[in-house]
Amino acid sequence: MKPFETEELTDQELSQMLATWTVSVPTEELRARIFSDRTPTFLLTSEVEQPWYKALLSTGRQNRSFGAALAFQICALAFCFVLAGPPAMRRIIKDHEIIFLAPYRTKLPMAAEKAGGGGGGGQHALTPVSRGEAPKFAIKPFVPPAMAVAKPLLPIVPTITAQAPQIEATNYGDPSTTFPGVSPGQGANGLGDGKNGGVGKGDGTGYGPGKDGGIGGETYVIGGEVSAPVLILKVEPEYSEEARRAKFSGSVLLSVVVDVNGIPRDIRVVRTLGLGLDEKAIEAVQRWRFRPGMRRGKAVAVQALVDVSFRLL
Amino acid sequence: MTAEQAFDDHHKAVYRFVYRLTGRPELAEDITQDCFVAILREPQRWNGARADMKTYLFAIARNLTFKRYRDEHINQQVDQEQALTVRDRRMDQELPVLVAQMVSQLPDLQREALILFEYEGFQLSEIAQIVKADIGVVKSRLHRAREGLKRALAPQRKVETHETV
Repeated sequence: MKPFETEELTDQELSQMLATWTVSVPTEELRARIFSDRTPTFLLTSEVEQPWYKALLSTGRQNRSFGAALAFQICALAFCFVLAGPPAMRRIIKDHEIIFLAPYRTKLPMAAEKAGGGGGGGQHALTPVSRGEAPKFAIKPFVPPAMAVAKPLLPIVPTITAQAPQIEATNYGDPSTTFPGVSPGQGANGLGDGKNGGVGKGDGTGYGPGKDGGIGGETYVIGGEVSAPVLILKVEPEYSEEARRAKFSGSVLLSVVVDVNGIPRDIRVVRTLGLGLDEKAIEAVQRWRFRPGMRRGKAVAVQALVDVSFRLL
Repeated sequence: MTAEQAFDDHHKAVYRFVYRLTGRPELAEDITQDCFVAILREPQRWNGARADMKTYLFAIARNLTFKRYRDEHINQQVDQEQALTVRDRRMDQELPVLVAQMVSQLPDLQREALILFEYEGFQLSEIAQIVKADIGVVKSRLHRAREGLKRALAPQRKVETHETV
């Protein structure tokens, strides 16, 4: 009979047994590691030595969490890029219509007859105006010095204004003429057949057919025998960051001249929206391409209004 | 208290604690080093009003040890495997080795409570502070650890008795 064989130890016996397990401490090694050379000691932890990718491949719970979190964030980011990218932008900007407002009248006169800039003049010479480079426009003319300077540091280029009939240089002329000789044309002032100075056939002080200042042309407004241009390439306008943050919506009305090549030019804001959306609308419309408006079977430049709406879903 | 003073006063206790907890001298050195490096780097984090330096150091050592356990995927299954081999060889080994092995077989939380109480002489309230648990919980863990060891080491008493008689 050995009842004590299965009996538990008393507390005292247990403490005595436990006390037999002693541990020797490497004090000097520890002191050396911690205090003697601090800087490398800090770096010599096993965690620092692990290559970065080991954390991703390891199966430790914390590393797994890290890996999972990283993967999740990458996926979320990719999701955002894919779904919130250009297609979503297109969905956000719900619709932007182009309205060609036929009755809208700009300051330009209707039809082609008198639209555009001014015309030229001349010195009553019987020969047509000579071909040459069109002089530059200037609001205020500068007169070149009377004394000739061989190589002036700041040369003064001759310019034309309404009151600048005297153009000495013989190589200036109407770029559109076919006459190869030297002649200022048949008009009263400037170059060409017009009067009141300027270049070309018009009445004003500018260049080209028409009257008044500026560069004349043949810009039509839609209606009658002038057909509206047709949009063939449309670039979606972006929402400006500022407007997106402000959840701002509305529409920008732009005045556009669609030239004979179908390229929008002379884009001006008629109704502003602000928060950078005007600029975004202009940027987009600049890249649009049209089939030009037609008049009597011929492409013509057409004045149009474009309404670009910005709406957040 | 400077880091040097803290080292002089407590490095042995911290090393012994981690060594008994893990059974790995190199790991005990690493973690002891990390504890005092933490004191060197951020001495302001120790709030003397909340815990004395020894308790603070043990709390750091304990956290670092369990973090290392998680990182290295050490778990109870490994200990259980070791336990089987220990039983097989039990009669051939000396008492301190056997005690060490039996303590290492205890579940982690029981083992740390036992080591802190039996070897490092902490009060229950201090242990509770180190392991961030209620005193009742610590008491329960300690009780179970001691009961387990009493049963496990009982045959060893018989051997010791026979040997000494």
